[in-house]
Amino acid sequence: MISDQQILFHKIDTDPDAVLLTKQFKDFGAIRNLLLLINEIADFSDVFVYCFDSDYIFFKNEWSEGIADIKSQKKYSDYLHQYDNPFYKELPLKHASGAYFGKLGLIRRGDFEIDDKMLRSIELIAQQIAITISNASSFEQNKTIKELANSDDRFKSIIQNVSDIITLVDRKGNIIYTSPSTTHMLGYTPEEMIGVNMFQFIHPDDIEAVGKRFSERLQIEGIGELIEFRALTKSGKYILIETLGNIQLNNPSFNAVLLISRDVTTRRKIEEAIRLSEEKLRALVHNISDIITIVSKTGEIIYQSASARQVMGYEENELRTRHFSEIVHPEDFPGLMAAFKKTLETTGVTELVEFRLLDKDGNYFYIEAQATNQIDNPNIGGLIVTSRDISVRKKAEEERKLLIKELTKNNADLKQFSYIVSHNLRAPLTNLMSMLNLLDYSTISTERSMKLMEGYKTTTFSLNDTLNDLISILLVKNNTNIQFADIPFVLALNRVTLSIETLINESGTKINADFTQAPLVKFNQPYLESIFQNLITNSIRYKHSSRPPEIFISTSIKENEVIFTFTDNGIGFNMELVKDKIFGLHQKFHHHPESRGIGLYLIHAQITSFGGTIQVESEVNKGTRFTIAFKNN
Amino acid sequence: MVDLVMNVDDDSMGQMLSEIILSDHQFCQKIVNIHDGKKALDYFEEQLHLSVEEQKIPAVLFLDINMPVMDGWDFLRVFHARFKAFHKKIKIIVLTSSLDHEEELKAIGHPLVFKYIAKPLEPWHISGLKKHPAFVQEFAA
Repeated sequence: MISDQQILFHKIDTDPDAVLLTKQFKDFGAIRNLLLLINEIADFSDVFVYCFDSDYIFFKNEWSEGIADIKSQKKYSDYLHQYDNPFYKELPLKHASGAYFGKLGLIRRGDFEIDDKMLRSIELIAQQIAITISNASSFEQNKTIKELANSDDRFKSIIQNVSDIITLVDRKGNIIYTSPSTTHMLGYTPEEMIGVNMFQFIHPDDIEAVGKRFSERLQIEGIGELIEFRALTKSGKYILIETLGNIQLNNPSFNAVLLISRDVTTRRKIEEAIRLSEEKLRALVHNISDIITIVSKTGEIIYQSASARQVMGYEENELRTRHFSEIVHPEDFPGLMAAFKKTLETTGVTELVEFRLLDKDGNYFYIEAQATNQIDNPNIGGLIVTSRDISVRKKAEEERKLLIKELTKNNADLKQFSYIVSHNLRAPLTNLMSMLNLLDYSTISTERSMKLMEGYKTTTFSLNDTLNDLISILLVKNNTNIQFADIPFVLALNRVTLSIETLINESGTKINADFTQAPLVKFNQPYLESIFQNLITNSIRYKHSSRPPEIFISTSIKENEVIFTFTDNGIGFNMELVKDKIFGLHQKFHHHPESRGIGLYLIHAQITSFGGTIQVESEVNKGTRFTIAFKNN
Repeated sequence: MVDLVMNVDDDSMGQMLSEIILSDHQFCQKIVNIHDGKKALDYFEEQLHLSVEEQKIPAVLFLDINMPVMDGWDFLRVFHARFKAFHKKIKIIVLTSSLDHEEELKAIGHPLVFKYIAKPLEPWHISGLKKHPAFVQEFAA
């Protein structure tokens, strides 16, 4: 804390009468000796003593003459540039009370360093100089001290308690007093600052502006304008300060410039943050393709974002004061009005509403909008409506609808076609087959007719097989609600072996089936029969010429699948050549007369339509193995 | 041997072939061929006006499903609703060239359908019928 006395001393220092202090100072011989003593410690190029109350300084730069001349023409201001000189150092000169009244300036030569020991010695000498000067002038001060000591306690109380810094500087900017709040704001104690030039605490970039203002204002007595600058804190950081100057150089109670400073760093930070967030929000609103509109509770457009330009052709706020009904498609208006009223009654975000808006060119386009009720928010006072142009999506939807319609029709046509095939073509074919069955071949007398009859029979049955396969495919592809149930494998196998009994017997085929591990499968019975039939007939059709067909069938359960394996000992095929094509339509791998390239395609379709899989392994002349995985849930 | 078989089918060739098989197997005395469901209903409508003694009700009715004018399903619907008196006397056998498994299930599930046979009608179908308990008495001798 600064004592009352210190304040008083500062005042005395700046008192015009006190200027006489140095002028009348008789004992400068003592000071000269002290300065010479410094020179003995170290060889400075300049050593001077400067008191705040005078522009002139004691100085000595011609040590050989041993003179320190009080009447030197050198002014302290001539040395101001030395602040930037790395060889310049100054030490404060204080009264016994601790108040600063001047400084000891030292400009060392570049070829030596001041070590700590030297510095301490010089500090002691500086102290001695200060005491010498103080003693010489103290008699002059007593009267004023007493007067001022009794002065306004209220004033003292105020300046010691305000959070603003109150600083007194002389016309050169030297700090002669600063209030205790300085410590709080800048970290320095008043003692550390007093006697130092205030420009030392100002950010280099701000010195010019502050210095200019300061020198301009010095000519005018009274209060100036606020100025902002960055001040150096003890921790080395800069804080933003706002200062009001009051020139009281001619006021005998001050004889100083009164500065009131306030830390505005926090305020500036907040202002900056607000500005940035406003900018961000604005940028956001400007750059998103969504249109932000604020609509009053009567439906009047209060604000409409610039993004409306790309979408609708309107400039930012061009639609302001218009009612939204003016730009909404008449057909969509009742629905939108209902949604609008509903929004007014609720809080939070409403559901998406689709409607058509009029663009600047007079065309309607589809948008999708969502509103938030912010009527009670004084900053908004309306509904915030976020709208998005969905005309592209709408168009795509329309196109998709058309496409679906067309596809549905095509599909119906195909179903109709498959119906025609399954009935109109099959009915006469069954008749042909029936005739062949009923024909009494013993009545055919010539061998030629007999051959033709045989040919007729073979062709008809072949046609029948092809047609049946095609119909099966159509049925698999068309049926969406195929029934499926738990079917015993043995049942399907028995039905198939019964229907192709002749084929099996004539070829001498042996079927070994083991369904004990997994007797049932959840599947469609005709499909399962089709799988058995196709696999068995394939095995017989592509049997090896040197051995009768033998088939091994087994089932098992693996996790949630039923695994069905079917192995034969037929001629097999080269996997390398056919692996990707084996389940394709009309892919024949043998030049066998009965090969139609449909069976495997069909069972693949039947299996995969239920989410199952079928795989095949084969080796030429050894046989083929099919592995089917049925989903078991 | 049963007295009367009715064959409802738009396909005359099919009817002719069925006739041959039925006669080969000496299944019935007489066959009435009718070409669509509507004409079949007309036949039964006429019978309703006759006395029970005069009525000629087939013991077996082969019914095609896909027919012009009135198909097999429509026939079954009307027959089921209108000719209850004849239900017990007639065994309806759906005889169709369709390979649609769903149609098969639909037919088998119908209360008036006795049997479902996929065309062509073959001799073993008839020999099977003759052994069926519903007819076995007719062919006992």
